[in-house]
Amino acid sequence: MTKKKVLIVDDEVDFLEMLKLRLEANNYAVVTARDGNDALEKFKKEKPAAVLLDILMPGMDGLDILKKIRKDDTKIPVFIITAFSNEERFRVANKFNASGFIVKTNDLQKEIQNITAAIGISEDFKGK
Amino acid sequence: MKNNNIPARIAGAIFLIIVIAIITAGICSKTISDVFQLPPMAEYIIAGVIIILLACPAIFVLFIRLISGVVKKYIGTIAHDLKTPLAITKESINLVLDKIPGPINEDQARILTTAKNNVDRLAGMIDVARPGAGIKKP
Repeated sequence: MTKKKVLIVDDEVDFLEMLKLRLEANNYAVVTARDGNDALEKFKKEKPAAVLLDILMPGMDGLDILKKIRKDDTKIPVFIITAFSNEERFRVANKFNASGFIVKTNDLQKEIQNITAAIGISEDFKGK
Repeated sequence: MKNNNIPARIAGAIFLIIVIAIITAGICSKTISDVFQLPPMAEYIIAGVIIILLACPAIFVLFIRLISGVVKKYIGTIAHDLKTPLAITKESINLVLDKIPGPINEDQARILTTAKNNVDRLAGMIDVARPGAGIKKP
């Protein structure tokens, strides 16, 4: 069975590495990007099943990337990675239809279950 | 986005309080002076006392609010910056505990669990130090 591909976008190299290891242990193929332009390029090229976006990055932040992704694909699960949340970010993320949030200090194994569920729902919707 | 320009807003509020205090003091001191037939100097003294009584407590409260806003913002920034290395440390420990890089023995698991528990404690302290942090379900 082909592994599902997940694109992770985060400027924090160490966190990217840890999340990549966790996703690979859960049988995902992982593509990483460290900034907005690289993320959008890989999004178009790799066609991932889900995207995980860090919300605070220099230059283009996660919400800007989310807006651009939603212009091309309104259905793909997109999760916002955050250390903290605030109401304004939730409001903007919900406006652009973020699928959920990954809090960095939560148990990432449990967070990945949400990603798996979201990919399943998205593919059922697309009829795969 | 909320307007976070607190110093400008507080400066504006202080200015308004002073203006209101001066107007109020002027009217009250004139009235009192006329009623009690006091000399002009007394009118100025009464006006000054009224301005101080009205303006000082309000300015003091605003000043405390300004300072506490600055401190809260500073604590919030520190708390946020601590979260990412904590998250990385926690996940590093979890990956080894979940045996993803390879097997570990009981002693190693016990030691790492102690480390993980204390990372969770630290994360909890940061959340307490920063009121309003944490997930709000969308």
